[in-house]
Amino acid sequence: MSGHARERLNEDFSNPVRLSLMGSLRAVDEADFKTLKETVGISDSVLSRHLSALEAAGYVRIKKGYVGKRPRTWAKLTSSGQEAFAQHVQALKEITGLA
Amino acid sequence: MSSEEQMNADEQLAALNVVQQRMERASGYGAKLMGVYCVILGLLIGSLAALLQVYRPEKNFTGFIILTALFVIAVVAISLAYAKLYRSLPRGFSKLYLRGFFGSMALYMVAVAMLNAGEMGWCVTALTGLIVAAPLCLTGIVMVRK
Repeated sequence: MSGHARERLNEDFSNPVRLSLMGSLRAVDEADFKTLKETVGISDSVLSRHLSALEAAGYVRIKKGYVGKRPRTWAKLTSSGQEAFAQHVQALKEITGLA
Repeated sequence: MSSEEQMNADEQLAALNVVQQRMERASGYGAKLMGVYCVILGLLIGSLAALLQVYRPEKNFTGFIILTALFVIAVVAISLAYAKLYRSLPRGFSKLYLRGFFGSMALYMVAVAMLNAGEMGWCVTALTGLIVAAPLCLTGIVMVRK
């Protein structure tokens, strides 16, 4: 690994909501919209906006479906999302002296 | 602090810790739900494997058709119920489920192949059902206990 850990921090995760979303999704195979909303403690619109941004960056895969007549959305980390976030967390640990 | 405010490294790690603990609590429900689903599915597949030895298609075709139809209805019903209740699943549980499912299905295929070997006693029939159900049931128990 080269350079200072600060240089390995991923700007995409500097936003607290995106960091929390990535952290939540790292603990699960998949989670639905409501679970994410309750876990991170944000509104539907904020969650939607940040999930879309993470999806556009290729870190999250979003799946939409129906349960009965009700629409439901699930999100999961992509393999590149897992890798990028693991590097970000590792850099954070190095900066704080935990690694 | 606003949800859009930048955080330093310590704050980021602390926030991650909190959110991961919350998600682990939330996904605990998903683990139990998936575990119960696995146990029920395992018992259904095991029962089918055992009952197929009793209701052999060449001897009791009507019984075989009814049994198969009941099995399909039961699997569809529990799958729909699971889909309705499902919210999240802890990391690695999808793979764990697939391992249990394919284990039980492989043993089910063996049980079906054994139909050609002739009729078996009640003990062997019951044992066949238990063995077929075992991978999924054990997977389910592991999930519930986690």
